[in-house]
Amino acid sequence: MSDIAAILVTLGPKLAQHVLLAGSALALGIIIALPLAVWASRSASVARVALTFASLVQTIPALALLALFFPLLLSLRAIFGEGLPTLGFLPALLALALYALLPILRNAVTAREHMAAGVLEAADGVGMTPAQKLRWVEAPLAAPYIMAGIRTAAVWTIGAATLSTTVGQPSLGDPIFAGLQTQNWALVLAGCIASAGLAIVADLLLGTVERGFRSRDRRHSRWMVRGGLLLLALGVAAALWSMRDRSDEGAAVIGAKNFSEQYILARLIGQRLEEAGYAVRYREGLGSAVIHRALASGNVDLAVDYTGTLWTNELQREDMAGRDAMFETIREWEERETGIHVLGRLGFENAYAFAMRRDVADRLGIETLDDLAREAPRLTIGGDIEFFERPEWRAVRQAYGLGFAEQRSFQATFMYDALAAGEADVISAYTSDGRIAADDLVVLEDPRGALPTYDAILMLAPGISEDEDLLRVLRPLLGQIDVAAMRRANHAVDRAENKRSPAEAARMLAREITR
Amino acid sequence: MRKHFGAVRAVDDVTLDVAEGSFCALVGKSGSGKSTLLKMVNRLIAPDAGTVILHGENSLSGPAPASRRRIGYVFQDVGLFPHMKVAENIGIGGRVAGVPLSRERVAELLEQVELDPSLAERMPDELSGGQRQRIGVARALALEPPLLLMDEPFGALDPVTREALGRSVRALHDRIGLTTLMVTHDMAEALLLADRVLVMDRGRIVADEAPAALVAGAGGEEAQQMVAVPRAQARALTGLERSIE
Repeated sequence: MSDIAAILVTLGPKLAQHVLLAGSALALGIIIALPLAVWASRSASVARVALTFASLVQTIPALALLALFFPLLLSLRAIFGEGLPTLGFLPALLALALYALLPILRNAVTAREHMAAGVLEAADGVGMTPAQKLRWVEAPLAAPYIMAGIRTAAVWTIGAATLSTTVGQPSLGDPIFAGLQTQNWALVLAGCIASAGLAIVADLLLGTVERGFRSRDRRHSRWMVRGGLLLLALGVAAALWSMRDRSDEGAAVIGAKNFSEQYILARLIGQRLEEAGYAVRYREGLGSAVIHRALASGNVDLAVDYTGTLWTNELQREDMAGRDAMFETIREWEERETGIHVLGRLGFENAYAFAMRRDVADRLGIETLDDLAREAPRLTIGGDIEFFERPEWRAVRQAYGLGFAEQRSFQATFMYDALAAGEADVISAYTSDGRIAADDLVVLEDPRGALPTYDAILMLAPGISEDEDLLRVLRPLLGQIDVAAMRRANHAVDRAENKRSPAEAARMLAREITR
Repeated sequence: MRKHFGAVRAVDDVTLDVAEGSFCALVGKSGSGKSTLLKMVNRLIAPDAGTVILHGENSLSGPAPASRRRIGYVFQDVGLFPHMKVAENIGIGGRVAGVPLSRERVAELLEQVELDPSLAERMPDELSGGQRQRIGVARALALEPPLLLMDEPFGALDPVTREALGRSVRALHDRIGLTTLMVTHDMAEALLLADRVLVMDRGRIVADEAPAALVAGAGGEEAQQMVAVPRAQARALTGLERSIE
């Protein structure tokens, strides 16, 4: 519990970002929903189309909706120019605002449908113009229902805003995603508690406003509406104020994908830059495709990627190449096609590899994949969920003529447990995984070079590769991180006991490099 | 005036003169077109053809809200604004027209409909059905309209309240010199309150008589069918009274 409390204290900046994002999305949702509701109240077909659209949006998982805004905004650059941000605040804002639309719109339309016909006829009967009728009759009568819709939207938006981490917008989702990847449950819980707490507070305040609208006691009602709105405004203002001198200007933005190694390397680079006097910001939990585009567009300045990943995902290559040839090809391709500068290799690989328990490997006399092919018909292979669908598996199977007795898929974490328990004899491991060292596993050699290389490489956004001072700070990292050191750092973060944070593991790693 | 809804001739070329100061009742069964005719007068329903001349001016020209402000309108649902105090409800016509009502005028209107001026600060849901309808009448009269339209104004009230309210409205009509057009399906109410009874059937006016003439048998078959109902009731009641004596 004290862990969680300690983490909660540090979440202030994330909370402020979260409040601003959710608040802006809610405001945008309201700005779109209310005129739409008025229009819908004048036309049944508009009501039908608007509600169908809003419901349809609601059926898209929030995670997918956020992700979809990336390519959408990218294509909109054709119209709005290259300055249009495709990551961070804008896509998160738009996706969440769309999400907030439905409850507000539906409540407003329902409120209008259920308004007493007599009251509406009376409004016409006393000679109100449509505008007067809207302002004096329809709006005040619908207000409590609309507020109820806004409350629902607020709770949804605050919850869904945690997912904006995946498009590079800092939020209370950062600790949740980081915690999930590093199996740091205190971090996950702290993020959830903060986000739920925020949702409860927002709901209470909006609930006060709603009750104010419902109340027949005029003075009491006005007090509740104004008080509730004032406190909400204060919350948003406090969030803004807390971010007053945290401008991104001049700060180097370091991107990281969503697994421990990436968190550690981002901190390693960041700590180095900070020591050299640079301001540093992190954008963590990004997807592979997202991080590459973010680099190309300059939304992220620095990131670590892997040659094998770029080879298939970005260069769209299916053939194989030697380790150095692959690296050089990628470096030239990036320079030419995206302007991303590949500074160099860090020294280790995070590739797919076949790993076995040392005792089993020794007993069967297996050291290489050729040895494995000999024994394979009597063995069970375990892979992660996607492994048996990947080109690596096809390549290896063909190169060595592998044919196993049984083939089983596991969640990555449980794959190692299965190996330890003897439920699989050999698994598709990741070469830099900390558990290889921790479990004392044997990584089989690949004499025919069938497995593609996944050299970790340091990549720089087009704009900053001319900053010679920055390059001087980073160059000492190149070629210095060996796979054993990376495994130890990963394991320090991943293990269940005596866990280290990515920042602490990065410091460990830094000490090993300088030694 | 004419109004067709699809194939239904709700109002089938009706021409009607209403003399200033008169209290006319428009009687008919459900679907006879009486409410449609009434609502065309204050443009809640747009006619297919025809005009409304009010004090020599065509009331159908210009914006509809402006025309409606010149005509008082009371209907069965009352339609008080639930989020406004009684005083605000009564004053809404003035607010809409940009001439707010004074507190004294609101009190005067409440007295006109025989309510205590202290009700001004109440909310509509604190009042009885009869009180609400009286406020509906006060609201309709707030801007001293030359014409008061009433669409089944007492239909939702209990018989005792209904009777009392009918008589006060008639008294008010006489006292302030109103011109009133009232739609009702209750012939007894029409006979007792109005000084001219119009009977509508299938979109047409089939009888146009003074109450006394109707009771004496004028107006034709449709009208007499409707007069027969309260007459039979009155006879039955008189019979009952006699049997007790």
